[in-house]
Amino acid sequence: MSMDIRVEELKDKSLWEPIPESEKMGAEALTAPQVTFWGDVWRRFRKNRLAVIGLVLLVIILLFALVGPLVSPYPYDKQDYNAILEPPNFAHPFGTDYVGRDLFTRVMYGARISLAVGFLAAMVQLVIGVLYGGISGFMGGKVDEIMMRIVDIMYAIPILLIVILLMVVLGPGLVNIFLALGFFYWLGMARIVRSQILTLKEEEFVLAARVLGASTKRLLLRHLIPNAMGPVIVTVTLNIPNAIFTEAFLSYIGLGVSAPMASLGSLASDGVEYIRTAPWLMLFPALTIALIALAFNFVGDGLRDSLDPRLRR
Amino acid sequence: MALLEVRNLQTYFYTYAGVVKAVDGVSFSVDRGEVLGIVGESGSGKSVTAMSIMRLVQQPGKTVGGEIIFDGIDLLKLSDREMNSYRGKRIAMVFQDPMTSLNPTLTVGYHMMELLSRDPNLKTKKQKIDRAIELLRAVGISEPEKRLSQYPYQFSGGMRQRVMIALAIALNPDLLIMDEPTTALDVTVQAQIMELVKEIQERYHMAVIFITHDLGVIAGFADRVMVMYAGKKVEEGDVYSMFEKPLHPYTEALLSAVPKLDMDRSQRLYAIPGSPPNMIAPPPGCRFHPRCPYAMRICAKKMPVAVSTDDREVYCWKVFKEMGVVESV
Amino acid sequence: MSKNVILKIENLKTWFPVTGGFPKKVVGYVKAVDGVSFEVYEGETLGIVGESGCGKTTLGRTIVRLYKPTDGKIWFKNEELTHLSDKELLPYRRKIQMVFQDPYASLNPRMTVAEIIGEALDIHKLYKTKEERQERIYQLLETVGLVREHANRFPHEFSGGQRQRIGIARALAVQPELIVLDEPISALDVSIQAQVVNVLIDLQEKYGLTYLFIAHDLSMVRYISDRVIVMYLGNVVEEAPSRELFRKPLHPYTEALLSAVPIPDPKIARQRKRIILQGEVPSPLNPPPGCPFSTRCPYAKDICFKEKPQLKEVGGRKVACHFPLE
Repeated sequence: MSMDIRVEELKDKSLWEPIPESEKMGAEALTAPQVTFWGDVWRRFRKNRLAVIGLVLLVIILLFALVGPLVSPYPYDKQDYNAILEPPNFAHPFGTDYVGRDLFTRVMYGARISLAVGFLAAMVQLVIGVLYGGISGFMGGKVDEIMMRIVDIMYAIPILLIVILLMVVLGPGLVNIFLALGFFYWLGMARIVRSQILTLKEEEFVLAARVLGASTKRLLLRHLIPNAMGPVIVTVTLNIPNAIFTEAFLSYIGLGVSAPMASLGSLASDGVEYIRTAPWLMLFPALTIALIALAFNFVGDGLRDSLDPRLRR
Repeated sequence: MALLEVRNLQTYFYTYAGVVKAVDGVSFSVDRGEVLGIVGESGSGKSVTAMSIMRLVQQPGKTVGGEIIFDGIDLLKLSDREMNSYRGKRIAMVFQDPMTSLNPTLTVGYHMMELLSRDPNLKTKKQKIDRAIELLRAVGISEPEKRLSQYPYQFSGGMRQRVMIALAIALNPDLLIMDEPTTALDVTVQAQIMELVKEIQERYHMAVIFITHDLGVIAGFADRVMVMYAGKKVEEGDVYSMFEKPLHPYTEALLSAVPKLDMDRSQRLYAIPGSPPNMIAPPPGCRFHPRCPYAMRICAKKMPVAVSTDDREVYCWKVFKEMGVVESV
Repeated sequence: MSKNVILKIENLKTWFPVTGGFPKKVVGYVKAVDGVSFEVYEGETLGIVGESGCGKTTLGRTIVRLYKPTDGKIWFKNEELTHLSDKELLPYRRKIQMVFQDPYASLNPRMTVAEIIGEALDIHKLYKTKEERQERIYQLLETVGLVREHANRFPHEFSGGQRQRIGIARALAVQPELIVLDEPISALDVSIQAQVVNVLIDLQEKYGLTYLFIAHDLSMVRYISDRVIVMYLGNVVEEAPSRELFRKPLHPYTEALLSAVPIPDPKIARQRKRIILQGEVPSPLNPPPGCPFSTRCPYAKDICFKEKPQLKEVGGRKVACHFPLE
């Protein structure tokens, strides 16, 4: 008999008494730590350095775009002929443009538009995309077939065509871009949500709710959509930079905002002319777009990793 | 000398939440031609033990201690390349889910030919094909010539498991490790596979480590049984004596948790209270003590030592006490 | 007869269409349940056994009307449920409940235990005040051996056996008369199975519940059931009181199934004669023309391949075989 225990230790008689019931841990005691789903996601998100950097960056950009213009001493359209094409300096951190407007302020306003576009794209996806996909997946059969073919057809229309058509009807302006983006940005989401719902509706907890007599509304809002939220949130965050780029691109080629309003795309477009003499005019707006996109991508990647159920232990 | 001797094996998993000691100091041996059954529930460490022997433990797991002496050589000291020459050839393994161990884009024949190319006795392609057909026939697959050119999805679950067995015995290994090979199968198919495994084991006189959670399957096949709980061995012994008189309270509880042939509803089954422990923070002392009806104070304080009789080894303070060792000291 | 029929199934068929081509066309049917009839008596446990693909889960799900039957009738007491709409079905949802197989998939991971059990109470408006609802949830938790502190926890914090008991509490919340138990213990560890089985038996004795116990584990079915139905390829092949069925099977499939069950006793396990069936279950998309078991039956004769045997009475039991075992 292997004895790696000292014999004297075993002589204590009390050691050999049964453990009284009162001292036993309850048989139903839970050993797993108490964490909510989102608590768990946050714990994993926090460990991802890039994701946290992205989140911090996003907060800074938000403050920059929303609070910045309120405290800036210059209105975005104030022209100052004493300060034309000034390089970055203490009074104008990003310099000034060809009519002496403060670029820092204009970039803040541009970022506002970019974020508004991002917000719009997110809302369109969350409301129209999730509901459309949810209903399509839930109903199944013929309804699903028809709803998905509609999505296929809409996917085939190029966004540029829509914007140009809208411009013919409504004249140039930011509204066109918003309408066009709203028209498109829910399509991908509808497909993702549909496939999620198709899998989820065969899950036993959904069947259990049906056996209890849960209504369609309850099934969708309490059981199906909340459990499809993981991929939805990831898609939304990763789609936002796409929408922002699209707006910037459309504004760059002159289909977006009209002067003196400025978006990051139109600012960059204006700056191209001065790329040799005043490179900051192009540099700062472009850099801001890149930072916004990067921040959303970092956060989106981080969310995807922390929401992935396969990584949960 | 035993064919395989595992000494104080420790395989840990380094997870987000903490270190999981999946296998925590387990020792056992297997003789040539012997069938060792390893029984345990999910999380007992039985599969990790098998994977450790094959050196197939994946990140974040790692075998951090112990020795695995196979035919006089410590497998843990081999280089990856040397270990590769053992896998399949000297030690083979059959997994629970055959679908994950067969590449779905390659034919069954390709899988077999690839493996048989490691056999120095088979020189020509014709020889290899003949051997593959012979193997498939040996595991009860009809029309083996036709089957060779088919893909894994064209085989049913039971047939796939037969293919896996054919692959496992292709190079005449000395030791075959089977990790829940019939768990995913229906009872009638399970009976077919068990019949086949028994026949093959006897014909080739192979040593087998058979891992399962099903006491019934092990009762009909194993020579010796090792029971695991929460990463530890709790009892080991001859299959007949262990089923007739289990010594460890956990083994005893497991056997009385399944209905006997003559029982009906009026007699209640013995329900082991509580749940298997959280392996990140297992209970101190004997890991079974929070669920054990006989738990004594010492069980919560000290890890039990091995109590050995001629055909048994038990890790339990209650058995220790009953052996009269305490009074004598 | 003093026994009251609580559920009556008549020639029930649940077929799933298989579509293909463009435009989509129905190219065939998976005949998951293909003409099943039986009765369930109040307060009994009827076991339904069979291997995967025999249609036992589909049968259970059709009875709770998760699937629409293709043909046949479902009677609960004196009401026919077969064609009721979701709305008309609501009162019967209270009477017939279900417990599912996978304790990890059958509870919504985003809801607390109180919300999961409370949902049943909400749907059927089974309380007047918030306090009453809360009290009822606590009561239900205690009924299945859990404690009230568990109410605000999430499913993933529980072990498999605990989760399965939460699933039972959810089913019990609406005070059902009949519960369809769809393999309630097959996903659980051996040491946990007995916990759940004991809870089920206690509840049955306390509330006079009727169980439809669907399983592939024959030893547990024999232990828990009064009567047993054996299914093969969408058909009932044998129906008998549990004790008699296991003592002396009449259908060759039942005989083979019983002999394949592993017995946790090395002496018996190695001595008994086993019938090893050849081959595997045919596809329900294309079942054999005669007896569904004819392709694997060791005793099959010519007629078995041509004519499908009907379920008929043999000495107080029922068997669907041209040549029942003596």
